[in-house]
Amino acid sequence: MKTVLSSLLLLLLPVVASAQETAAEIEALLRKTDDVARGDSSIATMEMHVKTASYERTMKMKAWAQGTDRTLVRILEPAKDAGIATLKVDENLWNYLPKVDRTMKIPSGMMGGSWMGSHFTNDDLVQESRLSEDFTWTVDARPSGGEGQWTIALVPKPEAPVVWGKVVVEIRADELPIRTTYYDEKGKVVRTMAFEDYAAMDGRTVPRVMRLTPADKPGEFTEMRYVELDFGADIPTSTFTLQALK
Amino acid sequence: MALVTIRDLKREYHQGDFVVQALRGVDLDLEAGSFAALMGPSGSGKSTLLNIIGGLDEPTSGSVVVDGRDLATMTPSERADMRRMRLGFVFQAYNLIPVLTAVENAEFVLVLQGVPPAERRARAREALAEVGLAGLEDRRPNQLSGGQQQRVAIARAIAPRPAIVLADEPTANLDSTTSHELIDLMRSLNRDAGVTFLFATHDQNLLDRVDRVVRLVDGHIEEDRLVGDAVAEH
Amino acid sequence: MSTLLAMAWRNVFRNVRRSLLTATAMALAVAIVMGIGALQHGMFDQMRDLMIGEKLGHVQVQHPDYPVGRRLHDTVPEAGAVVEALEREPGVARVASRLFGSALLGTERKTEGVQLHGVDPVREDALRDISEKLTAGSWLGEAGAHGIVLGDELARKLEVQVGGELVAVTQAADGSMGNELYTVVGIVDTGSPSVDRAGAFLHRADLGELLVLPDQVHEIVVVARDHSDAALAVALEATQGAVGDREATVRSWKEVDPSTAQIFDFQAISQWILMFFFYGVSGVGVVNTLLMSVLERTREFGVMRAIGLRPTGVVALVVLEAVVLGTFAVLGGAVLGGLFDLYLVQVGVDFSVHGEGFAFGDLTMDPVVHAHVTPTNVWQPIAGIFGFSVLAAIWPAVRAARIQTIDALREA
Ligand SMILES: Nc1ncnc2c1ncn2[C@@H]1O[C@H](COP(=O)(O)OP(=O)(O)OP(=O)(O)O)[C@@H](O)[C@H]1O
Ligand SMILES: [Mg+2]
Repeated sequence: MKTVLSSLLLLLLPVVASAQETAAEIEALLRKTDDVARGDSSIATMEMHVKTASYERTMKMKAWAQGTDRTLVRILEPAKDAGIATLKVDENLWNYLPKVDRTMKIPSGMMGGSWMGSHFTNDDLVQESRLSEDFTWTVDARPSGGEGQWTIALVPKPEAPVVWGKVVVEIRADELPIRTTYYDEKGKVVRTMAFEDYAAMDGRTVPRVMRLTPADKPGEFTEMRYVELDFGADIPTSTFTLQALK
Repeated sequence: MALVTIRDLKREYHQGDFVVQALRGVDLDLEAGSFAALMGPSGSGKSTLLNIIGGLDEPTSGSVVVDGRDLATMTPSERADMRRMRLGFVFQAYNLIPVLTAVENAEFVLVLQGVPPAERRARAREALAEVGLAGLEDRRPNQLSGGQQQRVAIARAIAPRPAIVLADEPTANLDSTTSHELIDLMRSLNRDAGVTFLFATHDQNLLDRVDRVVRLVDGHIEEDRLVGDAVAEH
Repeated sequence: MSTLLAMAWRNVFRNVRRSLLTATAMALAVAIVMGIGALQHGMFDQMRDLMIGEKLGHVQVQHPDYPVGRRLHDTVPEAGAVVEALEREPGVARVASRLFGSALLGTERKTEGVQLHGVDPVREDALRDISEKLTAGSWLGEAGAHGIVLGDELARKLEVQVGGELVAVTQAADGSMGNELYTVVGIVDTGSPSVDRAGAFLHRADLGELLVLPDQVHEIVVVARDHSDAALAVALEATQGAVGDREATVRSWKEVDPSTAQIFDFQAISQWILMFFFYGVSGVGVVNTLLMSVLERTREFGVMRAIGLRPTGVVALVVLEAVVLGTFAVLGGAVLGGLFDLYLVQVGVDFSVHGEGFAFGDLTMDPVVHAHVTPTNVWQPIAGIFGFSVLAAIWPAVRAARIQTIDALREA
């Protein structure tokens, strides 16, 4: 009896060893996914295309980011909205409205509201949670020999500031993201973020297009396309102040 | 034809398993204009006989014809109509309606008869005058003495000019002076106005003044005789 | 008959104490039903006014999809023409059209998410007397003035006063970021917590500009001539006529809010329960009084029957006694109830809990409820108590008529 048990343990050993190896690997992978299109600092020019049941419009905007804590987005086009800017510092969000020359702080109760008429919420902008830190993961699929893809299911840790019930990320063998699917507490798909058009920008390969599709509004989506992306630019911290917003 | 004709009248009351034979075959004829009394010991059937003649009670057997009508053939409401139209009643006491004045009590039957207000008021006043109560028309019964109350009862009984007045112990609750006065009154109503009276009584004063005494014992007529002036007249 | 009536009258006064006691109880019942009925009426009127005025109107016209999704685009087609047609309808007392939108409203320091009510200032005021509910400032003026009237609680949260400036930001119908500067012209306490807490009124044209929905309307609200079902039916039909075959649904407030409609149905039921309780109690009092009096008078009924009164005459006499008693009671009750009503109308009843108004659904009632006296409110308890006492008399009356004459006579 004893021999049977010890031989079973012996059989299990290599499996455990390989799983431990993978943990560090997966966390690095998730970290990379978290930071896709993000560097220490970046300046980006983007086009945001929004399609809803009642309208379809394209906005051009420029974004300055310093780490994950500070972001400034300013609308360039269309003319009607030009100059409108959003400033994020830590969890705070302000909008600047040039027409009335006023800055407005988004109250915490309105964080779930739409950002600039898109399918992104204000919350998405201040999103503090990181796949690599706030979730426990299980690997459902892994690439082998450069073929296939990663499919990793993530469940938020109990006290993590996350509204989702589950998130599933799909990542290419070369570690670029394919798709992130967000589920609610009941396991229903809420929205899907798809990444496309992988290209080298400022020396890095990134998906140039992110398309967010809400599950409950068929035909609607918001597509964000990088026109220019500049990593490692030296952005003064004064850029991310209310004075600079105006 | 007699005003009241009674043949072989029997009345039994059933009290549980007992049968009380209140009347055991009574034959009686009473002419209009009579002034007659039923006498006899307590429980001999006087009130029963009077009530049956008045249509207030129904015989077990036998026939009763009053004022030409056989009571056996009449419905309760027809008997009520007959009481209202043809009979007068005077009871021993508490004859009057307490909330009505003397004149209103006297005219009550006339009201029920549907006599027009002016006429009935006049007749009620007249009747009150006849019983000697002129001036007391607006008194309530509780403002009148026992004798006066009985007079109002008599006025009420005679105002509609009935064929007969049935009076059950009308003097029993009165002192002897008052009793005498009331008897005088009824005697003169009989003599002068021709009102027919049939009494049930123990009162010797009244028995002394009637024309005819019918003595009941145990529900049958023991003796039926003419008395006083009536004897002489015959 | 007049003799019977005289007898009935005097019989009632024969036992003054007993009759007085019964009549007083009946009069109190009349007064209570009058007072409580009018008070309840006042309360439900207030509720109804709040409900109809602040929220629903009697009839609502909306785009078929608007009630479900409340999407900006689901507006009533040719609303202007519909409103004009409705204003010509005799069965329509008031019409107002409204445009809604949610927005961020605030200053540099404070911002709140609010519901913007774009209204026609004159029509809206006629509909819900909103200018009387202002706690500061004035009601909205001309279009283009960019005036805004805030719910009092919202004004407090935003820390603004009349004259203060507020920025509104919203996602307009074309997807753009609508934003505009407004001047607070008034602060209002509507009695609807949701409006007071997060509602702001502005000219419909101003909101139309902000939302890029010029001349558009989300809701047309119609107020009928009164709160009756008949008036509702008339208004409903008129509205359907005015809307014609345009793509819009016409709903009565009962369809819009069936649970509240049920509350009002319950009002009727509770009124009936209240009435019949008191009618019943007073009826029992009458039965008791008359039965006692009839049994005391057995001998008297015997004599009356003996001298020719028919059983129907006995019934008539006893019922007449109830009529006399009821007449006195009801007259006294009317006077008493009138005084009670007067007090309840003038002074009212304070239902406040620690100075707070009480809530009804998501509306807050004025804590002091004043009675509302309607003719029905007066004649119903009078007729009810009177009718019930006469009805209640039938039992003792029949008992009296059934008294056996000779048995009664034997009782000396
Ligand atoms: N309703 C009744 N039920 C039973 N018995 C009755 C009834 N009425 C009369 N009786 C009986 O019938 C008999 C005759 O009674 P009634 O009243 O006629 O006598 P009365 O001669 O009038 O007596 P009194 O002089 O005491 O008045 C009595 O024995 C009486 O008890
Ligand atoms: Mg007797």
